[in-house]
Amino acid sequence: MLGYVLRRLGWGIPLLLMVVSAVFLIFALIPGDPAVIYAGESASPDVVARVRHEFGLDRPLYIRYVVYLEQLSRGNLGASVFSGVSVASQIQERFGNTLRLALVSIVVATIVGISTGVLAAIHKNSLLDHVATTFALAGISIPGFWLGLLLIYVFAVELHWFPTGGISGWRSYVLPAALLSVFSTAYCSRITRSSFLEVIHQDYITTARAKGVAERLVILKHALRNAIIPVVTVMGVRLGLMLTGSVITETIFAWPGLGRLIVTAVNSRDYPVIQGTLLTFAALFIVVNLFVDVAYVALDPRIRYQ
Amino acid sequence: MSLWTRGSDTSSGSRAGFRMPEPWRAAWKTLKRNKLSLTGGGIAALFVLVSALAAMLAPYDPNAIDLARTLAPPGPAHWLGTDNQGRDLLSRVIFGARVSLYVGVGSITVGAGLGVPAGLLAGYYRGLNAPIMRLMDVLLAFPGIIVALTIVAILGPGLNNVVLAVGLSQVPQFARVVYGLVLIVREATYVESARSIGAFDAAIIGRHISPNVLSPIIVQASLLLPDAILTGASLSFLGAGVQPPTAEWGAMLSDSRQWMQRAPHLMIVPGIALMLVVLGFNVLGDGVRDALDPRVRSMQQGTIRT
Repeated sequence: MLGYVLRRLGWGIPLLLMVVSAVFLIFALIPGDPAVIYAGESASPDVVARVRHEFGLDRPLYIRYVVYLEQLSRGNLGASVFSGVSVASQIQERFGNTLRLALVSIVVATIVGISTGVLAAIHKNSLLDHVATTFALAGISIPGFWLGLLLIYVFAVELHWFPTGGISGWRSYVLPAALLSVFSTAYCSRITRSSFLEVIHQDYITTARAKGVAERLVILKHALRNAIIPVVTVMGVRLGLMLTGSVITETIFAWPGLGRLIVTAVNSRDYPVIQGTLLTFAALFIVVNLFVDVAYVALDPRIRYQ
Repeated sequence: MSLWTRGSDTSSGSRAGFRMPEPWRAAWKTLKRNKLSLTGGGIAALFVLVSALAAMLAPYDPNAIDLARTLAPPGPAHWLGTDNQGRDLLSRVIFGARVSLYVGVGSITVGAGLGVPAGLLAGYYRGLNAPIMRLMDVLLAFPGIIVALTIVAILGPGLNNVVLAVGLSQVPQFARVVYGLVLIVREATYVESARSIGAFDAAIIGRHISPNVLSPIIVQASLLLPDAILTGASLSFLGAGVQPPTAEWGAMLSDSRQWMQRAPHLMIVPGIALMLVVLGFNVLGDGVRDALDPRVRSMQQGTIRT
């Protein structure tokens, strides 16, 4: 087990290094002179030259790469082209907001998804099952940003139950978390249902019932524990996506998180901010997926990685 | 591969002249029996038809501004009302279908056009395996929309850049599927025998391996098409995609936010259009997958029980 974790970690580090290098290379090779962007379109050639020298842009690519890695290892991600604020501090400031929203959403999605999935599986082909299936299909197909607008229209603009955006107390979490969790809830419900149906026909369930174990215990202890393994993987991946992929939710609800940061940076072409956010996303994604893989092995004693 | 040659169904479709090869006919038969998928196919066909005939169907020029009739509710002159510049909403939704179709089909073409050869080469030549698949790992270290956003940040917004960005973000999805299959197919006896009689690599890849990975590619493409349409619309919604005044559903939804209270129809109509198209293609894609997957088909036809 420990060996597996170490090997898995051993793969995450070169992957991260490759991502760092790829991001560096892509942004170094962007057409257009970054010195002009930093100095401003109207700057004189002298100023552009000075800026180019100041940022080390006149040095060869490999030296810039080494400098970049060295700065990165100290946590220096550069500064915004426009505001001059350090990218690392912007990310630090916003990470908590993204993380809190993602955690609330994943908890909601897991609880609602697993319980509806199990109920749908137990009462297979009942009205409840059909309703759950319909909702799950709708939840997977509805365009996220449109659902967000509908939520704002109904619950914020018309009913005034929740604010339209920003962070101000627990109320402001309700709509963004609902939006961010809807796809995962639907997905979790589907996976739980099919996984549960697969497990319920296994021999050990029949054995447990034959022994006279109470049905509630059969469901909770024997079936659910085994059915939940694929769900853990899926929800782990969803968490990784929520931490990085909440660009839509954060934009709609003016949520001051990482997703909003990268969208504003993309629209204003603030390359250092884009670069820094990308690296943060990649690191988060790789780490979360590592945890998912480890949890998978830990949960299922049948899987033994050599 | 015995599943592919199983059928002896010569009673139907044996008209003289062209005949679809056996596996495709069997797949078509399965698809035809799936009512839900046929409904999805109907929506998809309608969507393609509306896109093709947009100029004939639209009652107005989608960009014709009429400041005397801004934010008009649905009525006899404008069936779906007008937007804040007095443009006819129905005409804009109809022309928006064309943009969505272009983004969807274009991105899948880019994604498959690069991903399939990448997967074939990585699977067939051991030396190319590491460089190609590690690059795919780097791309997969980010959620698709983040990859697309970054590419748009580099290339700039605009319709063709959106196609390129969404397409590139889907390259790894195609490459992974093809790569995994090639690893299996390349060990098959018929590939070995082709090699033993001195067939060129190009001939082996082109004539023996490619036909065997075709149906999974079609499945992957039909499952990724609604995704591509949605990601393209999301980019435009975030302001990083198709630029005004082009009628595009995501951009229209983004504009509708300002007029939510006075003109909710601006938000409802493009959203329903987008959801219907995505839902239609999702359901159709599921049907295509079931039809082309020999395991599912034999289970449905009841000839092979697993």
